[in-house]
Amino acid sequence: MSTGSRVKNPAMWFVPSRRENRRDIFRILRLETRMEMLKLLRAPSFVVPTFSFPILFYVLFGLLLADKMSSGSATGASAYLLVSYSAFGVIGAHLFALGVGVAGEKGMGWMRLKRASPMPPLAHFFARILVALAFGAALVLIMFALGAAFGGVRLTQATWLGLGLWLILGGIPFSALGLALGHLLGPNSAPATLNLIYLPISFASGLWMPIWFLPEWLQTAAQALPPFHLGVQGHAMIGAANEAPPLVTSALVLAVFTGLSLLLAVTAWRREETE
Amino acid sequence: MTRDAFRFFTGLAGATLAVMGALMLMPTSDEAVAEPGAATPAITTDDHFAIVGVRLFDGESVLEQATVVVDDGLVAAVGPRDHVDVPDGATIVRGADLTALPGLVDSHVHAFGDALEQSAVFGVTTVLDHFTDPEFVRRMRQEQDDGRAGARADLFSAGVLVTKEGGHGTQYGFDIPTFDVDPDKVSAAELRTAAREFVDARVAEGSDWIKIVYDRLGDPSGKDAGQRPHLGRVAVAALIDAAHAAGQLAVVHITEREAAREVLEDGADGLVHAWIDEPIDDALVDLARKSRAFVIPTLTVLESVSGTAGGAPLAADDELARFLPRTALGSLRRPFEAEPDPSRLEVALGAVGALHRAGVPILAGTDAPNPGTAYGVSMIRELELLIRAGLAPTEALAAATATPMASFGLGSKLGRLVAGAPADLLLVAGDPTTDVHAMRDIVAVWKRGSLVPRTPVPDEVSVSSALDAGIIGSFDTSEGQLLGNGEQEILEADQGFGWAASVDARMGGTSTVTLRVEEGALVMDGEIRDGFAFPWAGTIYFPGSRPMEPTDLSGVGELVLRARGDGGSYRLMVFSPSIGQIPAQQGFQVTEEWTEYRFDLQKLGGDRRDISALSIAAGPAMGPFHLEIDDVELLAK
Repeated sequence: MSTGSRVKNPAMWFVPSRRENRRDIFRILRLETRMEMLKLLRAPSFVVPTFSFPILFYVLFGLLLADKMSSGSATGASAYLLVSYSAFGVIGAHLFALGVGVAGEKGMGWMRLKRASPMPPLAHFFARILVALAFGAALVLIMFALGAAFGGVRLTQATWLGLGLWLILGGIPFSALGLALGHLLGPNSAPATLNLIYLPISFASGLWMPIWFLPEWLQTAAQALPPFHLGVQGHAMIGAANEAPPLVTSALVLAVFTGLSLLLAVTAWRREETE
Repeated sequence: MTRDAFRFFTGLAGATLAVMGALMLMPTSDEAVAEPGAATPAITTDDHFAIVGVRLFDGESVLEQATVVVDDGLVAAVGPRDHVDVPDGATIVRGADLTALPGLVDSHVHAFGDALEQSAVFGVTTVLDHFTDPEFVRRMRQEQDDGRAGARADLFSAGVLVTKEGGHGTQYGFDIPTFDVDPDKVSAAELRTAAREFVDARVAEGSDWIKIVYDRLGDPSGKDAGQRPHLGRVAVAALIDAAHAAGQLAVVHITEREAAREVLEDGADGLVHAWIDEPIDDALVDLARKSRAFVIPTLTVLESVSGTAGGAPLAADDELARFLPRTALGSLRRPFEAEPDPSRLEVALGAVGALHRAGVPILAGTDAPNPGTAYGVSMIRELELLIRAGLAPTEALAAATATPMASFGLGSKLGRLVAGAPADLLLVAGDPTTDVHAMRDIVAVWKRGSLVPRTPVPDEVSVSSALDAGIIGSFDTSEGQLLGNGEQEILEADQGFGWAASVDARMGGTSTVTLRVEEGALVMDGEIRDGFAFPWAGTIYFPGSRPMEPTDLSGVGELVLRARGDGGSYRLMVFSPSIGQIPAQQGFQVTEEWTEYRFDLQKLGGDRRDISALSIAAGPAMGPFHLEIDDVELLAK
């Protein structure tokens, strides 16, 4: 790496400290990612709920109970709920990987140790987001495979690809929220509090059942909820959305939401630093 | 780039590529469906929706890849998918592999009870009634006109049919006006005036057309041929003319080929029923074509008149049966009591085929709820039989949609799926325009844009009490006890809740009865009076622990009683939720001598698992009555 390109080097972004040797950043990132991945894989309290709930819901409501009576055609309900529960699962993966993880590490004092280490803290969070993305991607692929194999879901290649990437990348805002909450919440209260936020907003956003089954006021309120925008654009991609806002609106809502969450995270982080 | 950076980025890129590769391996659909209408549920409860990419049958012809937009109870737009814009705010219903049709029209029913609701469940959103209780018609039409009818079929009705006293149509227990002018005894002018007065009275009652019975055989089974009085040809012709003078269609119920020929010669606008006696001939085909009459062959009921229950295959189809009440299933499986003779149905099929080839409009009608038929579901059988007679699937579907409404001149675009029509529509899986079997695979039905609820009928009967065989009415205690009209008094029974007086006051009738126990027998004195279409008065027995509690009487085979009285006709009525609103009944005639009467409950009461009451009553014949009963006993089967 030439010194002339130093300013443009994206790795600069990860350098908070003069003590740090840039050359090690990717090594750190790689190792952190791997370790985080291993850590989560070995934590049944993360893997089991993250994967089993959306899959269980989908198998039950999207595949087994989606007979012709409730949906008109099996493919219809199976495809619709595939999007809903995939979004639901992806959000969960990000919220919990970051939220519970960070809060837990904070509680164990691990975070303090890491801060004292020469590792750039952003690398640590970036690694966590990558891991959450990986879990989200795995979940989406499992769900898609289930829908295609047992629900008869058939989409064009472009739709599969677009929908998959939208759902996988659409988890990032919830990583930001998880990060913020992880810093705000205590290690013991984090899982319960996250569930208290995660389950109701997923429900209100129409990720459990089609949003038109919810009361009118809730449908209106859902427009302000980020999970609604993640779900509704997914539904729009397969032509199953009822009154979808423009993609730009949803993307904007999610971006603003990400920004606010990061701001919150940074504030919490600063507060911890001064403690 | 450092080695670590390289390893990090290659790892990231590898993972990304793996995910994208996996996504690209997902199975794809044949058609481009990444646009609206791709994978939406094919059902919506919204009143503003669009069915996109659907196969459309508009009542006459087929259009592939169509879009139907429904808003506010009306069809807002229909056309090729590329030409019809889906409005903002419309819920999109995926139409791939589905066919949208206008709601079906059953051109021949007798509407009672849940007829309109049951019809709608099977996509029949309009029924043309050819005689029922006039009060039922008045009430249903009032709700329909006020927009309070909800998701049930629209009703059009002939009102009271025109028959002779004691003729076909009078055997159903309604007290109806009859046309009893004898053409031999009055002048042509008097006959004309009488016919006109009769027809005008029907029009004033709200009849949508005039139905005349020219039933020279009496019973369609032919068993009691010639026994029942019927209108003569001259009277029928005068009535046809009177209907035309009043601006009404005259449709004529016939059962024989020659009757068909005569009424067509005399100007009938439509034939109700085909015939099963003699094969059609060219002259009759020619006559029908030239007279521009239409024919409602009712092949479904003719099939069961021929001795085969045409509804049996429908009742055997679980997908259909789960929406049918037990009464409907029983009706579908029951043929008319006749020796099976498929050749008789062939006569009707041959006639329909020949008439259709000559261009005579054929209308699909079932004659539900006659034996072998049931509301709604029997249209599926009728379509199958019309195709067997030689109609193409699309022609059979037209016979069940656009043709009847055009033939009867009933406007409002019912029976067609065009812009501006009421949003009565039926969505089925598959392609009924090539294979009518697809009509069994109903996905959704909308009536005036509202989704018709299609809930499977629970199989279970909830019965909490049971009654075994034994005496239920010895009347040996409570000597002298007196029970009058409408009093909530109960006469203790040997088992079960007890006996009570029962009159039609609740239904607006004015009949009366007094019950008293005298010399160990139950004595009824009363009078059947006008006021309700099915007047009755008598006694009612409740087998449960409270009045009208469904009770399991499956261990019982027969009911035996002794009776004597004034020589009039009485009936035993069996009430049961599974029998339906109209009780099963069997008449008996008493004499002044004590006589024993036996009633086969296995035949009357179905499986007898939920019998809520048994009634022994007078009516519908008007006048005072006197009846005594004793030793009422239920016998084990």
